[in-house]
Amino acid sequence: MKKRLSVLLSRGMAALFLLGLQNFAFGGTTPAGHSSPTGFFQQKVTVKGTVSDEAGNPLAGATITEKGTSNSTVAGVRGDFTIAVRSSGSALVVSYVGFEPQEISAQSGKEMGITMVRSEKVATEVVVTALGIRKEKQKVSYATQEVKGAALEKAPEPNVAENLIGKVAGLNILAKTNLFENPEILLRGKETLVVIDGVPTDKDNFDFWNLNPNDIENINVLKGTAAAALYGALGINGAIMITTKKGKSGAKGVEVSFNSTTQFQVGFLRVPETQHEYGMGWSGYFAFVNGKGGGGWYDDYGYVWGPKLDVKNSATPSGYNEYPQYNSPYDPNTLYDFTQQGYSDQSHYKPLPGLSRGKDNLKNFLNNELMTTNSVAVAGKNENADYRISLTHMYQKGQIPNTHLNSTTLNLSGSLKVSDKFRIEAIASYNKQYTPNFPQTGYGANNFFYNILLWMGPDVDIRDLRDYWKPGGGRYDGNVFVPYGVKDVQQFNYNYTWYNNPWYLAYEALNGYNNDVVTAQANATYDITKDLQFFVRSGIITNNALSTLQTPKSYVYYGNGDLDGNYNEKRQSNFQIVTDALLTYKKAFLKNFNGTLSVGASNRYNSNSYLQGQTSGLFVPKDYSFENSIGVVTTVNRLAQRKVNSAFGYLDVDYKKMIYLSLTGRNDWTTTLQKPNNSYFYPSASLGVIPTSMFKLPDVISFAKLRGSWARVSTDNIVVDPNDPSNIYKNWYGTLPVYNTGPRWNGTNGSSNLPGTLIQPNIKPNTTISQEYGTELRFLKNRLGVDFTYFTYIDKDFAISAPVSTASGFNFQLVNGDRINRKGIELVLTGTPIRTKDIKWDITFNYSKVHEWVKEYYNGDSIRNAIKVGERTDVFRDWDWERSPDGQIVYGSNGFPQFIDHVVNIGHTDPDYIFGITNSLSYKNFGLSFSFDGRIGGIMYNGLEQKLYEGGMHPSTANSYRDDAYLGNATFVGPGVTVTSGSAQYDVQGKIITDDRKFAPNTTAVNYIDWIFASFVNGVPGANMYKRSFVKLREVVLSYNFEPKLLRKTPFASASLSATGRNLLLWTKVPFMDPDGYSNTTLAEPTYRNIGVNINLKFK
Amino acid sequence: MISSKNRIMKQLITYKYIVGVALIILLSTSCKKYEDFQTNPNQPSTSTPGLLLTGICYSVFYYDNTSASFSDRHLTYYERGNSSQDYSWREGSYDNYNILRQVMQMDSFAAQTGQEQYRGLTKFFRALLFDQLTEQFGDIPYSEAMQGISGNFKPKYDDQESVYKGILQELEDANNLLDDTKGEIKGDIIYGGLASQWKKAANALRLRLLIQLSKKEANTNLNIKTQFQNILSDPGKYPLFTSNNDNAQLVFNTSSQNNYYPDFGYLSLGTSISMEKGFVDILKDRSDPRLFAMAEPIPGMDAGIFANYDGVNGGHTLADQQTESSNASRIKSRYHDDKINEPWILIGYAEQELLIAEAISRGWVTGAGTAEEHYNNGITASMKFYGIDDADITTYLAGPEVAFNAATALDQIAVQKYIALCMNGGYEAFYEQRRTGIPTFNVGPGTYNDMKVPKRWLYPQTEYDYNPSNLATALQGQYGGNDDVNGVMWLIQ
Repeated sequence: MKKRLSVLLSRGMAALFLLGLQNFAFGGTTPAGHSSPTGFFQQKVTVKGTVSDEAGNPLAGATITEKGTSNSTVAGVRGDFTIAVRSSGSALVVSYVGFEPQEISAQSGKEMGITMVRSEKVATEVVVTALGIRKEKQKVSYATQEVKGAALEKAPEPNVAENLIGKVAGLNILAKTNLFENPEILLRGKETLVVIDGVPTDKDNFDFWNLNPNDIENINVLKGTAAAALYGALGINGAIMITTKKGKSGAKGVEVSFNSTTQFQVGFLRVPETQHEYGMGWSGYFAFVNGKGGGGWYDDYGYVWGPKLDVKNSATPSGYNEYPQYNSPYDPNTLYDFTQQGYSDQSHYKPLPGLSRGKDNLKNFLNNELMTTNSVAVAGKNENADYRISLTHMYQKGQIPNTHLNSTTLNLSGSLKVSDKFRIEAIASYNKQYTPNFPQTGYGANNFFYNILLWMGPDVDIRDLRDYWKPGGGRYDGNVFVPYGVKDVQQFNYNYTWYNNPWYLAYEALNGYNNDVVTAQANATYDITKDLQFFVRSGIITNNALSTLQTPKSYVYYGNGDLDGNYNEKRQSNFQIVTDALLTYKKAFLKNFNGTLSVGASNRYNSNSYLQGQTSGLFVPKDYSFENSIGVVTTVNRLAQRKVNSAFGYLDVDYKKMIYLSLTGRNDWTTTLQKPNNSYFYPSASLGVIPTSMFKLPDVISFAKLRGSWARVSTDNIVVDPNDPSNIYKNWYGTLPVYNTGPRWNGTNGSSNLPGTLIQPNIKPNTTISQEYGTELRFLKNRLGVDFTYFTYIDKDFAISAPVSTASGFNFQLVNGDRINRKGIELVLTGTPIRTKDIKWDITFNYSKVHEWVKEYYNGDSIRNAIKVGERTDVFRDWDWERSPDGQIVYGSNGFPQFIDHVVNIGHTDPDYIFGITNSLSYKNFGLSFSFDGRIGGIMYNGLEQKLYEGGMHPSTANSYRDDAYLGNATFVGPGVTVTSGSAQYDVQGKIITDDRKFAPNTTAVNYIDWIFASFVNGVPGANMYKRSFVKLREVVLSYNFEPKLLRKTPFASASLSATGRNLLLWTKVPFMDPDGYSNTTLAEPTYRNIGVNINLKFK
Repeated sequence: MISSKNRIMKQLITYKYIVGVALIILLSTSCKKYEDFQTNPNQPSTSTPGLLLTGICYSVFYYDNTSASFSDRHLTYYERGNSSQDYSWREGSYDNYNILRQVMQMDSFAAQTGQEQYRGLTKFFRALLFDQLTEQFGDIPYSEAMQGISGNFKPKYDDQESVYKGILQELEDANNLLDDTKGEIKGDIIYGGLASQWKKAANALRLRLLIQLSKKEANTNLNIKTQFQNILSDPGKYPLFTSNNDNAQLVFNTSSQNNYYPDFGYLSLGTSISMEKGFVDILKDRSDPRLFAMAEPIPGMDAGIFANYDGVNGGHTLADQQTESSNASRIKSRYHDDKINEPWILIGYAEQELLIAEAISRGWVTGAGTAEEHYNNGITASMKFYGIDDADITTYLAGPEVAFNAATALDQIAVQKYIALCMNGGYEAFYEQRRTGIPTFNVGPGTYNDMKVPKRWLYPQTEYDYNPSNLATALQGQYGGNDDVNGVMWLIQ
């Protein structure tokens, strides 16, 4: 089996990959060498052995070289190797990253056991830096942090980025619970660049949904500007460098591996709660007629301030209060009597008992989320070529019925050593994401939680709505019910004015998405001489995305005629090609110096387009085509293209492995800016010093490094409209004056208008000057490590839309102006409290903080948007209550809270700091890892809480004051004070300038519903502000690696089994919502707990 | 030797390979030149006066009147707190300057191409938009406004008297510039390109401005009475509206969603907004059949019977209003259910006739008919707008509170204008109530501002931030230096 597979793969697949290239390179001659490597080395001595670490673990991938020759081999999965050498006794050099290289004499005729010693004094860890250049970590003089791919595959998140939470200091990732929602990823407070195998991606056509965790070898985060200076403008905010797995990092021969994870939802980490005692309606009254205000009692209000439920009444057949409800049978020949709070009425709708039947509406609606990921990979290599093929499928079933997500990834890579001097490599990945329906988010009638949590009273049992077409079919025209007698036309619901039936939403209002993403690159390296190397690479990322939104008939969405149904389709197509060429010269000089000088050129071209169509009403139900549109089909098309040419170079010099200096420079020519400002140069410099190599330091210090860097980077990322900052269709042409196209009138008259931003000529690129200082210290033979970084960035002369007096005729002028300072610290502590033969415990602690301050405004202005020069930029500004100095809410003489008469600065939204702790324990074959993370500080507005109050669904609104209010009695005294004399003056930021107020407790009783409305239904976010702090137990993985001897009779070379848990615990004071990913009035899916199983197998 | 030759061959082949790869890469990369990227493919780089005019008309006439209707107590909104309804408003909007940007750009194109009709329209829209601004705030940037293009980003403020003097003159200019013989006006979605119709609108607007200045009739700088008399004395030079057909109004259509009546599909209008009690009472007291055209009966009751209609008191708390609403009239469903509904009138024949009636009643004008004729014309025009038949109009005109009475004429005219401006004319009804005190607006426990109706809006925060010294100077001359919603501007002093 193994042999056949090997033949198939090495002959078939490798040929498939490389045939075309080989034919080109060899002019059609037979490919030689790699398919029968032993053929060249006859009449030699064969030596066999295994390579392992001190604990006896095999070191797959260790390199064994016959000294002084190019003859080498690589150890297999079990550390085994075979090499033919000139004679027994030939010197073999054995090397493996992270271990001291070892020289040993070849011994034929016996199994050699080679034990490698971990390098302690100097870690020879290799990191991937800009352009994919590998450097020893020691040589890197700026902050980087690595995450191994293996840490991502056991308990994967659907979006790989969420597996990085807490694992890198300075990387802030806001986790999302909605199916298929992008997490927010901020590095040092800004959106950052993602780089795959040295090729920069573009956020318009690539994100973490396109990545399969099983294909990731490692992720290295280059945190600063200096790190990415060679990517130019793209790397201004650092970079997340992803290296995919290749055949060459594995064992010799063919390796087949399989990884499978299944995770199940086992309950909720955070789910909003609601009251269950009062039904829909107003002030205790409700009588359904048509849900459209056709003469019932508040049947179109949509509030849950209606009758108290489960009230006994001996006068009714059921023994409870009865009144007409949405599911009452209609009898045109009978008039039923009913009574509420002493008022009587009659209805053709049969009164039904008002019972609390909807306690578990949310749970009765939601599914248990499920996610599975299966991945198969085949990799192989020999001395001259390697390849890897992997296929992964991820399936996620959402919490909301009929929502799914699929992602399939095929990843191919191969490299070929054409000659000793010439190597080529190609990588291609195809990813397809497809979902027939994923939930719509935000606040509105298209959101499930809007229709269930906020506005569906507990008098409705959601299970009764499961047959979601109205019996008989029909729709309301005004107040007149027009029966159609068919389904597909009118949904059945508890209210026909404001809300949609959640089941109808799930099964009929389908929000589909299909995205095909191809990333591919080819690169070639040629050693012109021993010291001079030429490298060229071209990488393409392209995608085609199709989004479809089907709106069925009778869909409620507040205007716009959606009752007729609609169809919206959007096609996006994005393309990027980046080509880099680099000539590198390495030379030792002046005895103790080593230098690398590299010069290169780069070209980047992006093309993004979209086409969107929207019907206006549908003739035939469920025919989602543009031909079926009742009115004009509205279409929009957009195109954005940009080209940037660059020339760049770098110089690295080191002295005796003690001092490392690196200089870089780059010049860009962009099409986004106008000549001569379209050409700009930016340099960087970094310096690292290793005192432990220079001086004799106490033994307790194993390693010490000091580093510093400076960079100035310019970008052509102009933002024309601050309200729409990511609109590339505008921004890439941002320095060209244009008109906007306005509405068209009566199908004949077009219109246009002049935008409100006056574009001043000579817009220069944005420039950021960064400085970063850090130290890396290791103690006690590396058992304790500290990595500390301080950074400060100045955004200088950024092109901004500077606001001006509207009476000038413009709202903004686009100019180069402001200076913004961003600074912060990052701290990484690593420790190994226990390290014995059987037990090892590693801890990593990440901590970071970053804030941004205004240094200077354009034109010397001292304040803008109520933020003064010198203050932080992350201000939450909105309406707030007037408060006494001790923080109590000030009430007016009318018994209602009073707000300050203009918007004020309520606080800062950025967290004070974020942290993550990862623990990793191993005992013999068992491993346990668990990680906590959190963000501490910063404020948020909890609009969900506010809306729960408004609708009457907040648990605390079920109280006796509500009963009093229903009877018209004012009994509620709001907690706070009144002003007995004096007044307070506020400045524009809301700070008190003068205050001579005297206070007394508020004693005025008011109607409770009036108080709720005055307090929470008035757009005063200050009423619902919370500290956004939280801590999560994010991940627990318990794994077992099977003993090799247990696997001897199986087809497996190695096998591991893991139990995983995600999102297990949450600590926060924020009610109802998960502050990790959400704030404001976003109605997100409840955060769920997951447990799962992972199986990882490698075949012999 | 052979091996070294082979090596050279191999190297040559390799170079060929590299060159090949490089070529492929370069070819597959865009061959476009820098210049090819210097045109925005998504937005035009130029425009025409006609395209701008359509946009200007849309901005001015495509108007959701509901907020104004809460403030002027035609309607009341109780779904949640709303500053237009509860008088808690603070700053106003300078958005008219954004429309003026389009007007001035249209003027600039027209000047370059000598299209004088557009220059006349520039004058009309400037007068209209600056008038709305000064009504809202008091002093405003006028003479130095719209100069950002030439670098003046901090325009000085002009006092209200100067603004009125300027815009009245601009309407005189508009009247002189607008002339059908100068050709069709392209892009005109109001009058189909007829300059003579705009000329009428400019003159009607001038009458409105002059009546707004009624407290300044003795001002010799403005000579309000003379201006009014001159217009009415020379209909050849100053044509006016002669019927509803001349109304400056936008007729809606179903060609696309943004051509529908602006309140189409506005769910709150059908569920959480009711007719205001004061307004309903005015209509009921006069047995005004327009009530049946404007309002639904109380839910469950029959239409067309005055007793079956009632309003919600806009001065009450939201919860009380919600409770009252079950026994009150909502606005007629056509306002939110009909895509076309009715045109939205910026200024119309009914208002013009009531303006003339007032001028005659005030003794400003002679030789232009009687106040009663114009008063009856105004009411008739308004009732015809709602499709009331002639017999009902005749009955109504003879009604006890409606029949013209010289002793109370100014009050009667004010009431009729208030009715005629329901869901039309924007804030004009509010400004007219501010000037005349008619009718009395309901305030109470649900309203802010110490239960007073505000008289103006505060200057926008952006002016405090970006034009502070000019604003400070303007405030020193008004309201005792305080930017106060209850400040009484020069116009109504």
